[in-house]
Amino acid sequence: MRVLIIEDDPLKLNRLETFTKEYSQSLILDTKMSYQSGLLALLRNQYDIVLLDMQLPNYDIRSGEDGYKPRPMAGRDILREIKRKRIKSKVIIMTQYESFGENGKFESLMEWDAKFKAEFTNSYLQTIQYKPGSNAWKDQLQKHLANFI
Amino acid sequence: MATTPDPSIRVGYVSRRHQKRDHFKKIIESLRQGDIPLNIRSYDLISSLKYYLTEKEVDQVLDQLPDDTFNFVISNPIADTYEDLSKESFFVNNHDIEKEVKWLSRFIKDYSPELNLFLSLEEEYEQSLFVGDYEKAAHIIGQIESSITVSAWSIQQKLILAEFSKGFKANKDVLTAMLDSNLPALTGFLASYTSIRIEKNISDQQYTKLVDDYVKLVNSAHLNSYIYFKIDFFRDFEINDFTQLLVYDGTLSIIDRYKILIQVAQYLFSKKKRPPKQAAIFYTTLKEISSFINDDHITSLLMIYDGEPKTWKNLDFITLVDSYTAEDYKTTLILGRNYIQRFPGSFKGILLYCKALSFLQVDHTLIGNANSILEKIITLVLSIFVRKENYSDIVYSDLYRFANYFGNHSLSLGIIEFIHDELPAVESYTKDIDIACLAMISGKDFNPAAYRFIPDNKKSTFLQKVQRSNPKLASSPTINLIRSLVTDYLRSDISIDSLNLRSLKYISISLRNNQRYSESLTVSDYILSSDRFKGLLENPYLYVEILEGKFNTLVQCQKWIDAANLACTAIIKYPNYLDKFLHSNLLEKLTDDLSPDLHSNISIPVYLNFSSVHIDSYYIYVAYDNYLFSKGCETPKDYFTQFDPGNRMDVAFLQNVCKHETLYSSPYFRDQDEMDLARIEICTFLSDALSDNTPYESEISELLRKVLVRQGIKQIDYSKIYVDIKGLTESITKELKENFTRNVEIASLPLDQLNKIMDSVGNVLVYYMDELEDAEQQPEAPDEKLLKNLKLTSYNRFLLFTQSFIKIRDMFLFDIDCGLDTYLSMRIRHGTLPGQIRSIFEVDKLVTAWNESTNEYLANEYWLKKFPELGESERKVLTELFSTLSLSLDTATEKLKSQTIQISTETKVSKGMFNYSYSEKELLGLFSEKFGTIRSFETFVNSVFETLWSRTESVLDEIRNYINQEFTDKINQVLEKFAQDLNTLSGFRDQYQSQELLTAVQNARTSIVVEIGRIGEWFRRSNKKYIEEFNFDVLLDASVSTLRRSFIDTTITIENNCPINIDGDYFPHFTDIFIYLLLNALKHSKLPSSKLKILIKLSIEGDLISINVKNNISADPDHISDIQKRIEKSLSILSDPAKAVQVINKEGGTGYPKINKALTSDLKRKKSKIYFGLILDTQEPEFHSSILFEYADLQKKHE
Repeated sequence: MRVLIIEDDPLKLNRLETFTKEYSQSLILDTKMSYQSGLLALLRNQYDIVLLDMQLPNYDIRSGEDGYKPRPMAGRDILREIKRKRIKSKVIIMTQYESFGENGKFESLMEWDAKFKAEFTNSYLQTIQYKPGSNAWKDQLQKHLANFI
Repeated sequence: MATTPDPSIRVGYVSRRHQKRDHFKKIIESLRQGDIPLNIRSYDLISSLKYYLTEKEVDQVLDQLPDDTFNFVISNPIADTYEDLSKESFFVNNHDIEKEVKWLSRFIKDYSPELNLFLSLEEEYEQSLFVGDYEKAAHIIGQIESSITVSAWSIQQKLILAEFSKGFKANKDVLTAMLDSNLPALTGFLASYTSIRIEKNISDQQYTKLVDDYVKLVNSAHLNSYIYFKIDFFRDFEINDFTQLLVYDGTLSIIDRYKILIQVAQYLFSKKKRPPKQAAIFYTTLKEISSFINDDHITSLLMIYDGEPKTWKNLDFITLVDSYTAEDYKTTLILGRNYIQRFPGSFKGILLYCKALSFLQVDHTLIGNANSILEKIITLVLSIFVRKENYSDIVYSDLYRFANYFGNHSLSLGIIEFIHDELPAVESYTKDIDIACLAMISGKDFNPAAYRFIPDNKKSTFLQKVQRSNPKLASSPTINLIRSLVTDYLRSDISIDSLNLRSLKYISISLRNNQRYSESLTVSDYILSSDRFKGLLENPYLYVEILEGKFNTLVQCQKWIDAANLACTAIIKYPNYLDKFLHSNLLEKLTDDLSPDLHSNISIPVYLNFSSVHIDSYYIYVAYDNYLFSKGCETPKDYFTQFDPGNRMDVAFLQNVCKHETLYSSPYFRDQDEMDLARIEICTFLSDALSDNTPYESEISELLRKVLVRQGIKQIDYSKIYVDIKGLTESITKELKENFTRNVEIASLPLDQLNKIMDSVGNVLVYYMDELEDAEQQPEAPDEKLLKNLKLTSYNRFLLFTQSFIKIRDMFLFDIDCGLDTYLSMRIRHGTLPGQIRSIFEVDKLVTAWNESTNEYLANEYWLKKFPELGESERKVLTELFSTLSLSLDTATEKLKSQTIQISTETKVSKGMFNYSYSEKELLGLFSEKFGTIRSFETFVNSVFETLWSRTESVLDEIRNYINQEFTDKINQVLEKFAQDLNTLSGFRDQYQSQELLTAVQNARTSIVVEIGRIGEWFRRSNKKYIEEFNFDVLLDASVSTLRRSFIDTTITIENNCPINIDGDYFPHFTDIFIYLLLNALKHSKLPSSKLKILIKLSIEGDLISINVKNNISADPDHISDIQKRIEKSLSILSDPAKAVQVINKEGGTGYPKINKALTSDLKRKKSKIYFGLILDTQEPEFHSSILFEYADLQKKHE
């Protein structure tokens, strides 16, 4: 199984990475930290599962660079591209927020979940709220990973 | 909790209801018989009169009423003073529209002479108002008020006159005087909001917000439609119950009652779903009224309803339209001008006049005063018809404002209809009504286009009847044309070649409306290709009109690609007419259907890009990507080989679509540099391929500048860890070379001689590894090498080495001009690091500033205001939580700065992680393995530096790890605690804004981790030179960008008159100077970032560069006194080198000693001056710095 994690928060990325590797030694794991590098990886490679943050910088933030601009709905943008390009990966949104949106309009995770299920039927699996101190996200994620192994 | 009502109470309630009903019945009975009960309640009296008695019975009762009661009941239709208007404010509403209309019409009949007088004076008044003869207009208002009645209408007109003739103050003076005269509530409300609505400087959004706030305050849903109808007519609202309007305005003067009756009738007849019963009631009433009121508004209304021709007071408008239809524009011009002189409020007249001007290409000469409403509207309309280079679609907003000034008035309605036609992509303002119909019937002219709104069963014969009823109209070309359209003209034998352009245009529209699309297209194509119309079509507005017609047909028949193609061709040729080709149906299709088949046409991305204001930029990217994919390309550069310079679409694609707004969504550019460079390549390619390259030069230049600024920012980040090795070497050579030479000479002495000489230090010997003298003497085994190279020397020599090494180390670290600690202070600790971290939390205003006078953090008013419903004690806790957050973050940062990022040696012990301690064992090791053998001073010094840099690398590794792990964890814990404390705060989660705050905290958590990662990278030594050469624009941009988060809303103005290019080696030092100056302004102004204004001026004065920085500061006398003390202290330090040395590597001061150090030591300026001080004799106190220095040898030497 091949997994791609697209996450810009180094701490969260580290924890997702650790968990995924611990879950199965056999899976191949790639990590990317921006909309652009994540999307390019999806176009160039095949992944079974994508763990995707919602808010991402447009480009990888390197020294002296600021990622151009933040994309508050980068996760949705990537889902759109997955659908448009007919990429076969399954996507789980991993977000720390209870709600997100853009241009001042915010909706809850439940509302987005319903929207994503309707719009991205072939690729979207679930939105999981990642809370650093809690293990609930691990249990939810585990269930999905189990389906692929 | 619901309970079953006590049966006895229910009986009592029912019994009371019956009693009331019976009582009321008795009152009605009594009144019917002509007896007015004693002590009858006002409500019952009015209710009976309005809803229960016949007209005759009402007359009988009214005749008997004493004067006071009579005036009360009829509510002063003729009022002498403003106070008398809606005086009793008694609103009785049974929601029976028929009764309300009857009640109103009774007064209209009774006061018909007054109303007829009013109508003729009103016409005169509007003539004067719109042409700017305000004196006359005011006189007429006075006449109306004195000879007829004061009214809410006259109040509103007086306010309008005041604003337009004398301005805002006069408007408010008039309003104040009115409000002081005890205006009743309803009139006061109308006056106040009219006064606001007509302010010239209020935007539509501001006004809408004010109305929204008022509606919230009133908090009564059934009043909303009244409020919107009266004071904010052009918002999207719906009315189904008109009784409210009639009841409220029915208590005002007779003028207001008449006006509301007409306005409600107009609105009702224009509803898209006209309620038949209500419409019939109004029709019947208006028919009756028309026998005693002489008003062509009524004529329009009756005609629209019954579809029968009427008699009009004048037919000048149809004459005007006829000349236009016949394309006799010269006549149109003359007639139009005459028409709007008489009826300046007729927007249709203004339109025709302006069209004639544009087709004839003649200038307009004033009709009214230059600043009059009429002239301003003519100017705006003309700028739409004749779109010059400086055209901007803001003109529509300006025009809309005029509509808003006058609200529900025929002029405004004409404007709204026009804007609606011009901007099809903009949603209709009012979905409840047909705006074209309302505009039509609010006018007083006969307009044959009214046939569109006639009942369907009367349409076909209406115009025929019109022509029969009036011989003047029998030969009207306009009516004939419309009749022919209605009767399916094209089936007749008349040849298309005999028709003029206007006729053909209307035929094309008619065919389209009848869904005969291919015929409609045929007519449009005929117009566009016929030689007959070549001359006319040179007028861009007319040409675009025809294209627009064809475009609309293509959209309607769903030929999407053809429509997009045509639109793009038109917009490329006439970019100022873009708004004419934005069609919501086409946009919807192109954004819903993302299939590559549709998007493989180049017009799709080009068209979507033109429509960018109306759609999500994602769709433009998809169209761009789909198109490139269809051509086998990933990036625009791949497309160059397929580019056709003669194809304007290709040019438009590369020029307009392949820009940052689209490219940033592409996965094929790894960072902003690649994206910028891609765009530079496109501009360069187009510049080479096309003859006109001027649009691209400035773009290329700007992009290159941005690339350079980013390089500058990288340079700033990578220059944090710095030692001026060159400067140090000079000092070291002076101090240590002699010692070293002696050391080397000692080394060459035989051992026994050494022993004798070195008695004082004992007979300790030290080993060191020497170099092989003969390179060919390869040892046979490792041990052999050791033995062969092992040399002995005296301990003293080791000591001398140690002294030199430590000396150099100390200079490397602590030399005031060149050492590491100075640069750590200048580039990290002084302001930059704390500012960088704090600024993350300042984005969402999570932290506040420390108040030195109260010794606590300022309360976080920004967030506290968002929780108005929190209890007092919870607010206190929340305030405390924010303070604790600020304190914890500042404490952690302060610790990082003052403890962690400090140097530690064996003599200067600290908790600093820049640990450069060397034990004797370590030094011995160094001597033995490396230094013992060195004979050359230069090699020795370089080797020491190498060792120190190597130590620096490992120290930096540790610091980066610390910053990325422990420090990050620390900050995370602070934020986590804050979030947890928020969640446990009583009542917090119930608040609507709690999610916003928690999201802000979450955002800050991610951002700070990323930022700390970036700060960690400062602690990485890089020798890379990113900037070869720079000018001050790039330098200032880079410096300001570095601090931008701390200056989010500060106004920074740069006037750079210094066109010098400086060698890139000096870039970090100049950024040091500017960053201090900016940080000084931010920190010591004691002003919030939003109020701070910084002016930076650079210029050349002879052989000197002059940098002047000025910023405003807080006017608090204590603060000014404090600044003066700081200035004195800084001046004292600057004038005393001994004092300056002590503060160079310290933080907390003004930074001027550091600036001086940068000038004198880093930039080696022999000629430099620094001035700084307060300017107190200006409106706002200012702080001013001035720096002068010679620049000759700073420029890059080009070979």
